[in-house]
Amino acid sequence: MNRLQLFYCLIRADFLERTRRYSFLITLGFTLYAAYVFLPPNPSNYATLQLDGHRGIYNSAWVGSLVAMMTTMFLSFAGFYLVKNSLARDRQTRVGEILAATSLTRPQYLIGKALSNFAVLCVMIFLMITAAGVMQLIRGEDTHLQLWMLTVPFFLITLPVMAIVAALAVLFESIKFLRGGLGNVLFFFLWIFAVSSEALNHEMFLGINIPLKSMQASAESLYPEYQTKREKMSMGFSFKDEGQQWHLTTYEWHGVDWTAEDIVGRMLWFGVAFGIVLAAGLFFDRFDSTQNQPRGEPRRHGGWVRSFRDKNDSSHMYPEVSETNGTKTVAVHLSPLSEMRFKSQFFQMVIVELKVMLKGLSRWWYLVAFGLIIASLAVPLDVSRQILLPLAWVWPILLWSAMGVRETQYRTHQLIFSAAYSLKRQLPAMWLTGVIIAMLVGSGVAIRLTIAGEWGGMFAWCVGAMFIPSLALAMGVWTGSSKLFEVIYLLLWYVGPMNKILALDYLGSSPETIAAGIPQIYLVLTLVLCCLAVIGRRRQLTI
Amino acid sequence: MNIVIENISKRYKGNVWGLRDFTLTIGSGVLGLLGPNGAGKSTLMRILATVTRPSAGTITWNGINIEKSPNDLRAVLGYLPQDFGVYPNLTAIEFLEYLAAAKGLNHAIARKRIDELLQLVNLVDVRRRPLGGFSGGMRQRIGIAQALLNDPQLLIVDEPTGGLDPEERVRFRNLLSELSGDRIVILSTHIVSDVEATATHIAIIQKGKLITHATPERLLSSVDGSVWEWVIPSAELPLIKQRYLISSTMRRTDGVRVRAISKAAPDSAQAVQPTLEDAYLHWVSNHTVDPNG
Repeated sequence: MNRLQLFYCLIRADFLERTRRYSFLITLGFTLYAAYVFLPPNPSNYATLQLDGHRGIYNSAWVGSLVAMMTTMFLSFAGFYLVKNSLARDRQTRVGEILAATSLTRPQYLIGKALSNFAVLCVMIFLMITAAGVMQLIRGEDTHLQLWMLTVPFFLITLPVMAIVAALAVLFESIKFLRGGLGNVLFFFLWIFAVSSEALNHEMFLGINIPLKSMQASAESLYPEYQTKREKMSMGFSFKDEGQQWHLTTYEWHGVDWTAEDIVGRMLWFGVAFGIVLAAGLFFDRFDSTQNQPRGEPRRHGGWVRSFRDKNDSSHMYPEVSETNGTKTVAVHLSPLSEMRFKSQFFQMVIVELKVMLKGLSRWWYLVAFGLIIASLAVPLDVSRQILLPLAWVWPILLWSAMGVRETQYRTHQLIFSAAYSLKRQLPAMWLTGVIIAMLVGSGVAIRLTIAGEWGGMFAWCVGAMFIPSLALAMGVWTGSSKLFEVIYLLLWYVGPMNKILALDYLGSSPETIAAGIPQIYLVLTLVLCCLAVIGRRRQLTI
Repeated sequence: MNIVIENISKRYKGNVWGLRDFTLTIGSGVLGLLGPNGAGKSTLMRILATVTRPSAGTITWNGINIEKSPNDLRAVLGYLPQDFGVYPNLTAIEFLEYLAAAKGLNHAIARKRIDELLQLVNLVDVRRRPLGGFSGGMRQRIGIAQALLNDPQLLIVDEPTGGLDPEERVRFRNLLSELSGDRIVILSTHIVSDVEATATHIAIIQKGKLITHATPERLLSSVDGSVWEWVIPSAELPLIKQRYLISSTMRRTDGVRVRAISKAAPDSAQAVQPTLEDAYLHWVSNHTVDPNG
């Protein structure tokens, strides 16, 4: 089999395995919906790109560029989490071990996986191009479809970014400590950094500034007053207050004059992606999970990543235990148990859930958590609430994200779900454990609020402590994966408490949030999420 | 104490039937559930263990419908699934403590029970080691221990001896026999020798249907006088295989010793005592006659 055939077979199998899932169809549905919302009518209560109250008419150049830019921004984020499961699946299904026993080399395997990731993202992009064309006709501002103008931005802006995303997904999956939740969290901050840099006009791999600068230059030439108000542009979803609408002045924009330098610059990112995949080969263990394992006794504290990261591979995280008394045959009496000894034992359940949750955490994890508590007590209350509480409540994210997921990921569900009253005992115990973690890590702020007599703040704090594990549990139970919670919670955390968006401040970190009655809304949401978790678990119990 | 399965069916997506109109009453003792791969054994085990719902039919445990009141059964159930995982960071003791709490056992009682069970499954020396380093057979023994945590009245074990070495397999078989006195043990397997050693009753299942349910003696008598052995030249083996239901073959210096199941005696063949494996092969290849009549 030549190399091309080999890659074709690798990509094909992986691609089919992914695209034959219902979840992929749902993803495609979201993609189509995204194309629809990326091109709002005029006027509308939101704008996706406005340049000081101006935008281009929806001709192929503007539609193609706008949808390509928006797709690049959002799919570079969501796409990573979507495709970062390719190597994990091979580990989980043990297909990886079979492949490792073949003559397939590490680079071949990883390139195949990266290409498969890229193929999945390409399907979404091609769907987006089609939808963009249809949307241009639906909006009807210019019904002349120019295929070249419509598609070029996707090829030159979006595709190189998707290549980088596909390669990064392979790299993260190849590096042991980035495989799990920690990798998900780190990518989030990497993405925030990339988007922020782009917003500050630094040319990053996203490439959004190329069409944006051309659009701005065009607006500038048509509207002399525009130049002075350049900072008033917005990209993303900018909503007007209730009852108000964006009335954008439209102008004709004919697209980017792509220079050879631009094109080469963009194509270079494919080379970077290739380099990332080759670099991944340095870390990829070729499914030999015994590599780099400590000899002798396992360490008692093996790093805070250990409990969460590579959940499907963790069976080999320890040196193989050999039996020392294999030939011994002992006659053993089993004491009969009376029915009186079976009781609810709820608090015992909470204790063991807490043990499972905290098992394997390193001293560093506790040290940082303790540091956050102490710091919360030491600094002014406002700093404590607005900065340290958000930090304290993002620190245990990987503990929460395992809630409701652990049973499926470690395949203990049949053992646990076949126990009596699992729904009444184990699920509430798990939830309470999550709340206890939140309360402990955020206890510094709670003490300060109590001393200051800020009962409104204390109420918000309690709601926050219940809301986070409820969100984690509901998402974990329904998706069977920790990924959704990790991504959604980080987004919520970043946009809400960190960027002071009132409606998303689930921590009640400012007096304004409390005055606006936001904690009450999150209390209701918490109840809804708890109900969802119970319904989801009930469904798991009775499948 | 009994479990009554009435007309149970399980239909999967794509109109695939895991079980079809399955009826069986099980009393105290060890029921060996035999069947080829994909026969529906694990589906039945999962339904009995209340982790899967049947598409049709009812199951009652001592008169209580387990679909409507699963917790009545779960409180007295010990279940060892065919495929299960463990929490790799927990030690054997911690994992069993966790499951004991999930089963609602008092902590002090559970600790004593766990110590006994770890001795029983021969894992005392490694009880404080993380499960992540356990071999497949050792994990299987942890599975056996957890199934016995709550002193179950109904013990369901699905392919329990997979991964166990011969010595542990014998040990487990003996344990099942000892446990079966005043409880129901359902042992699902495709390893006939496991059933031969322990079962008081045998049910053979194929393509989701029960094809027979009898004592081992009755099953053996159903092929009495139909099992033959004789020696043939190696070259004739393909032809013999086409003509008879072959139970086993053994190479010898003078040819191949063939063991076959046939109503009529093959040329120069001698009738031999049937084994349960012969009976099993007979039933799964031709299940038209029920030994119960």
